[in-house]
Amino acid sequence: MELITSKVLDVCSGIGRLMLENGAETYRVEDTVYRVAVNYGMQGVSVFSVPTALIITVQDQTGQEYTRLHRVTELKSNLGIVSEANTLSRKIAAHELSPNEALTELDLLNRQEPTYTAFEEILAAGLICAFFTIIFLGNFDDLIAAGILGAAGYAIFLYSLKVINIRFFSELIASFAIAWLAVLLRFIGIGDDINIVILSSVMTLVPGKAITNGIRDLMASHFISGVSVLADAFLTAGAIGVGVATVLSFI
Amino acid sequence: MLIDFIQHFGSSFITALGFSVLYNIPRRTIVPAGFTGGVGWTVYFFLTTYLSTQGFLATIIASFCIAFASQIFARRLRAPVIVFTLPGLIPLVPGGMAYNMMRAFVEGETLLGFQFATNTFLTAGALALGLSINGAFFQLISSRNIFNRGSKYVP
Repeated sequence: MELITSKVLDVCSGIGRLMLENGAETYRVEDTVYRVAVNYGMQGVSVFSVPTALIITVQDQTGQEYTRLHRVTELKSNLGIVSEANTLSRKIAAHELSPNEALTELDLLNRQEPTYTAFEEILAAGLICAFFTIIFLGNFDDLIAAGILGAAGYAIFLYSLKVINIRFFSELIASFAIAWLAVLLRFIGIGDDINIVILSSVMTLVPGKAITNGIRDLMASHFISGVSVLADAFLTAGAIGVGVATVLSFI
Repeated sequence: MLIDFIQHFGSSFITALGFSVLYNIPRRTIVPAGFTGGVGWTVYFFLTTYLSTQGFLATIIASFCIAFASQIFARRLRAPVIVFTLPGLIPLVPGGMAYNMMRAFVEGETLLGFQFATNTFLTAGALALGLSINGAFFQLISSRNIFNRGSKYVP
């Protein structure tokens, strides 16, 4: 394989993998990778991507075909990196970066730390859950209870994710804990309507984003990724529903 | 009436802001992302509460507004649109309904579960529809060479 083609494939798969891992939609990944490859003078480019894998085929100037497959196992939501990868692809489109320079920048992006600390995230989770009570027409008592529960639930979720590393199980544990704590807080006298409190407190775990993205993928005729994202959403919702319903059936 | 609007705008602003922290979007864009969420939910709230619009239509209009605001912010701040739409959609997104659906199924209330399921899919469809309408609209007004658009790779 010629050196330049191999480098271009490196850049393409690097940028695509980075975007997939950090929660970009599949059609955006395919579009970006396609543009990068075309801008480096490859012909007959075709890209296929599902949330867990990325396949790229290119032809170089002599007509020889090369394919690369990348398996993606890690899935998180870090839109900051997606944004940076987007800027990088724009720079490549403007012919400002050679493949080598682009590889260096990708390496830097790979090592980038998350923008926010765990404390900031837990604080944000508490605020989210607190103010969802107003959207669901609860009162001030509910707001305080949901704030406490949301922060605690998200902290439990983060910790158990670090220990067990199976997302559905962590969601089950977190929602189970949230429901128990809600019952406990209600017993002490914080919180008014327990249904609103629990509903608001699980909002940070709930798969709203996955459902909407799944439908969007289906509409853009990316059927495989759409269906798999929707299946993921159903499992998540199921985990949370089971966790809460188990507790509520006790009382 | 005004106090209602301030309450709902403020709380949806904070939820969208919080989710933009959870999604790790760059620091300079979290306030605009929160603003997008506030606008979307306030439009939805106004339409359903004061004009008693159907939920489906109201969701389409609200998600169109969200996408519109996101496009403008994305151009101003030079960030991809997804950075603003994802946190902005959060107050409208049917996550709570999906949870309610699963809970109803687990607790054995199948009919209620199916009702929630239908609502979930209708809402998600409406959100996606609003976003796509806005995308088509922006492509129509922003592309310089209308005749070359057919050669684009992505819908």
